[in-house]
Amino acid sequence: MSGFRLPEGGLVDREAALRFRFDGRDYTGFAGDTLASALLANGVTLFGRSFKYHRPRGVVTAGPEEPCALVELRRGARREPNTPATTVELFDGLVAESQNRWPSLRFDALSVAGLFAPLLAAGFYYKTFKWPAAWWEKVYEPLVRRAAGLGRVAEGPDPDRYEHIHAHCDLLVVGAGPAGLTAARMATMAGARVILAEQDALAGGGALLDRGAQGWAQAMAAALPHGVLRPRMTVVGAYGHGVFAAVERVADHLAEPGMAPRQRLHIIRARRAILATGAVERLIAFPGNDRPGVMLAGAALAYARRFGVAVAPQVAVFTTDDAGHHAALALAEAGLQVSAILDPRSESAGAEAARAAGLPVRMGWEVVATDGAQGLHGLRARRRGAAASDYVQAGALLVCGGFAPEMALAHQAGLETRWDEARQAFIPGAAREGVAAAGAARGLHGLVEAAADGARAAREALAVLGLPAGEEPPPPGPPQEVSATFPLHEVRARGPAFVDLQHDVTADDLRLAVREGYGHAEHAKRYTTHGMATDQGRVGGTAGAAVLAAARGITIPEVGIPRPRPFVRPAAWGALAGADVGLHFKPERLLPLHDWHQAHGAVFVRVGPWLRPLVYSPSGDTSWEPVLEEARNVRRAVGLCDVSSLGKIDVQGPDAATFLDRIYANTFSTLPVGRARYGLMLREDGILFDDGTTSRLAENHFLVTTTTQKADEVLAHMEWHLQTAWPELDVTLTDVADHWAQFAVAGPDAREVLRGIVDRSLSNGAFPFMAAGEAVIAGIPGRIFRISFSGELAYEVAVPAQHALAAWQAILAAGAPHGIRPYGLDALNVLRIEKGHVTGGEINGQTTPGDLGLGKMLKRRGDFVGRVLGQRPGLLAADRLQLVGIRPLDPAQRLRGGAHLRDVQGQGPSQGYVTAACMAAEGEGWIGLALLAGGHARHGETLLADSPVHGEAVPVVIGSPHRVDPENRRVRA
Amino acid sequence: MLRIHCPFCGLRDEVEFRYRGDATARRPAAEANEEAFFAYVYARDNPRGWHLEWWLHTHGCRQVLKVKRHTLTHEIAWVGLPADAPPEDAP
Amino acid sequence: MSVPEPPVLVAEDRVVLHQVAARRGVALPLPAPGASAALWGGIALGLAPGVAMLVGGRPDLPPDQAAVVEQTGGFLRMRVAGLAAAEVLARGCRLDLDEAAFTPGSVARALIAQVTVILYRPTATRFELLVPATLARSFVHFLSTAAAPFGGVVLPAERGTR
Repeated sequence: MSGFRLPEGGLVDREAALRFRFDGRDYTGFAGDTLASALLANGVTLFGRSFKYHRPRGVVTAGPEEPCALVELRRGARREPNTPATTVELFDGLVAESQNRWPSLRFDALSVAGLFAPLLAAGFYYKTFKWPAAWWEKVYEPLVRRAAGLGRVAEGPDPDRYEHIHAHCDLLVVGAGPAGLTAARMATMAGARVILAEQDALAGGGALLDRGAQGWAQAMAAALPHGVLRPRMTVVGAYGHGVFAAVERVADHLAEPGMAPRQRLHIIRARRAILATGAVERLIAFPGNDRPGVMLAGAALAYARRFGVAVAPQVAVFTTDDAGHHAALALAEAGLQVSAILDPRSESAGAEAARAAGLPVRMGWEVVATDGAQGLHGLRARRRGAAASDYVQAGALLVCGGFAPEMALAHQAGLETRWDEARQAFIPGAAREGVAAAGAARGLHGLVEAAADGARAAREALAVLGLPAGEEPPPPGPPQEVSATFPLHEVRARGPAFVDLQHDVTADDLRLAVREGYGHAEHAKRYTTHGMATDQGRVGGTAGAAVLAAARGITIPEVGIPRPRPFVRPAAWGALAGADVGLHFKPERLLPLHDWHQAHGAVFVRVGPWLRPLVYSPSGDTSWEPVLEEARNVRRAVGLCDVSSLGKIDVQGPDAATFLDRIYANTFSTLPVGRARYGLMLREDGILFDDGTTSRLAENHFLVTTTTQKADEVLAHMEWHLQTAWPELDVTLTDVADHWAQFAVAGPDAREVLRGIVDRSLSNGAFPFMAAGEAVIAGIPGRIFRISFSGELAYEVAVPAQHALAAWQAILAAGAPHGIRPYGLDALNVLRIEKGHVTGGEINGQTTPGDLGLGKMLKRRGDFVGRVLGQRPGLLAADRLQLVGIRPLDPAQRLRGGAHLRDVQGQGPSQGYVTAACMAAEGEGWIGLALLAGGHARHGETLLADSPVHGEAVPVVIGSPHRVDPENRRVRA
Repeated sequence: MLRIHCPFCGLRDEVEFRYRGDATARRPAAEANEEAFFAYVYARDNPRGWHLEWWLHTHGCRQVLKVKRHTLTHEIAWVGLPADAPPEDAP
Repeated sequence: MSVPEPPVLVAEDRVVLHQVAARRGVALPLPAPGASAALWGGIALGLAPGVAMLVGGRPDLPPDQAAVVEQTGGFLRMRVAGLAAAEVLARGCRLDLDEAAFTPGSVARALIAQVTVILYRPTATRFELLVPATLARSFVHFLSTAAAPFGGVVLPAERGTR
């Protein structure tokens, strides 16, 4: 009663034998087999166990819509669960295992679940496992976890390589069946750039099932220019605007990918698209329709015609469509015995042909039950309306419930859906936004009709593309007359009738959903999980809609089909990532002196896309010690810090000063040439957006700096205002962030160090605090700015990035007698916290200049972004979170960033939080900055810095944030 | 993924642009009051249908474009510059 | 897929660059965005209306005619040449690089492998890319990964130009 290899026939290469292993047993097959066809040829009938009830299952289809024969492929890090055996191209050495069974496929312990079926109906988990509550975590959840799921995910990183390719074409044709091949052929002959994507390894589609048309398909494919036909490429999503994503399985059919990527993701931009995706054969719901041996008629036909395999020596057919009769004829020709063809219709063209060939046709009949434990022995059938049933013997029952156009992409592309009564199917409507359906995907029946429809679609596309359509290629064969499909999707009789084979959903489950109020197609789907498995309801979707319609007393089109979404077919996660994995997930931005920093022991930290030195520690010591040494060295002598990642924007033009006055909260038109000024930029709602130092290099020439993190946003903010709010201003903005390398030379000895290598005088008279201008540094033309972030006497030196190393080394050489050392972000942070300068921790999108003690900087007259809404009482209230300095009462205790400030007893709500904390370079113990409600008026108070996450609560005293040199004597030295 | 036809750069993928919201919200005159600025910053119609909006071509020409897009279907009917207005009969 | 003549990469060569933006109302012979033109001893690449990047050469323009901003340190130039050059770039470049669509002489500033690159095609099989200097190393990784299956060659940077 099981399958076997036919003595001849099929497209497999009988000279090329392949060895493979399934469930620990060795078998052989041929090149061109799938795992399913090879197993059938070897007489295997049992392929897996169903999801919920662990019922034995065989193979149902011959394609990617397979719901039951899901296997675990390969081993180790390449192990892939839930792969349909019907899509696995056989290769030598293939290893596969069945899933969801223990200890074996034949004797699965959990098949006892079938005994509890009434308790495990749809939605049972909403009504069970509630009591006792304590059992959930210890008993129920572990049990459910073990029982749930199908396959096992691989452990360990994916060892394979993946790629993305961006592609463009005039016409994308999805599916290389008769419609797709015809359309692609005509379009390429008209001179269009065409991509013909075919998910199978072979082109041909439905033509592969017809002996005469097989040759036609091969010839059509061969006639296409090289590179047009893309086999093993599934278009997985339609995203609008002509954008499609396709996954190409480059190496899944090979034992190991070798140099090739395993899969490629193609992002295709097509001016026009034709969806020739074919139609999927449907099951009929009747009791016992899930038994191994019950399969789709077209699948049995494919196994015979394409793979040379008979699914059983004796078959019966249950069909509502002429396709079932055609399949029976073909199988009889191949030598199988047909014990009965059961068709609920009274007459049809297909039935006539079958009867004429001597096959036993029973019109007006339906199947009510199947029989056989782990394989089919026979079935019970009755005349429709009668009570008595007959027994029919068969090793396979071939079911044909009509065909549903494969419409997932059409739905995604926005094509409307309508119900076709004669085909008993949802079919796509008219073309939309350059996307059209053609062939069986449009509900047409027959190879010749599909090919003609492909030609029609090609002509329409070519007309829009402005290309001349030539002659139609020859058709695949003679036209065929077919009768309408019978509207029977469920046979009501005793026993479970499945509408979703993968998720074990029965017709009764759908009726339960309707009784419980979840009758809408989208609700029923989620309540019962019908259509939610990897086959996405392809085989049982219409049957499910029919059950819901009958239960609700409405028509099938009124029920509709749940909305399908990408992906049409599962793809490896790696394919979505492409080459952008690991360290290359996002590009890294490196400082011009990155290599020097690395060679000198820098420990790097990722700040947005940047890698910045945190501390220089060749020994790898990441304690506070090296950080504090760097910071103390700055306060004591001189240090050198690479601040090249700052944003820098060149602002030029007759209206440059006017523009800066409007974009900044303080005034820049009054800034003298050769001076720099600290600037505050607000959002239009009055919140502080960014800060930086802007210098006036000439009357109409400024250089704006921004924080590292906000550089791109500030530039976009400025451009947007210039182009939309103030188009009358003549200003040019140029991003020069990467052109300039910039270093801070900071410490009491800074002037001494630079004196020898800078061409201009740096005395207090010639170059006072906040001076800025051009200078030659160690022979390199650049700029110098006397600004200080550290609170010490400091200069920032800017040179074009290609000269960064020369300038840096010259500064180090000049500073050697003074003990100059480079310092990183951690030390920079210590210095600025001691000084009380704000950074992103305080400019956090919730604070205003007033909150940070900078309210006096806002100009009183003149428009600027944020002026009006910044005056709202809520933004000026005295109890807002305001910047303060904090210090633990006990110098031995540490502060935690993020700790909340509460009253000393640790009662009451949070009054604010710590934004920055560090060990002090000048002085003992820890210091920090915080935002405290009404903080400006609370200096001297004692509060608790409470960090429940660390289990620490530290008494702290509130004071000014400016701990070091509050009179700014050092910076003006 | 949208594709936007930049008048200077041609048809480009959405990821090259930065969305900047409702283009009918214009910055009030400097002397305008708090209500006007409040409406400018916060009040939006959020239509189910055609929407005139800003897209800044950040990874291309860096010009601000005004785009007429349908918020349900994502169809783009018209692209222009800040000073332009879509033709009345654009769908 | 047949393997054509391998593409050759000349990585990280520095070139003198100036970004030129015409002042309002001043008519300069700058190429339109997307086009290129020989100007001022170099090649001007049109980036935006009235804005071009001059590669090589030196523009002699006073501030009331144009904003001229040096960008030599801001970019590294990479060359991707060979019959498979467009196929290699298609691994990260979203533009249509077909010879009829991106003709020789064409310019585009666009996202390539998550980096904003100025792309220039002097001939059918040669592309020049101006890549932001701080992102150059990541970009070279993308180019060498994309070129590897074609037998691509990445030539090492000249000393001292980084």
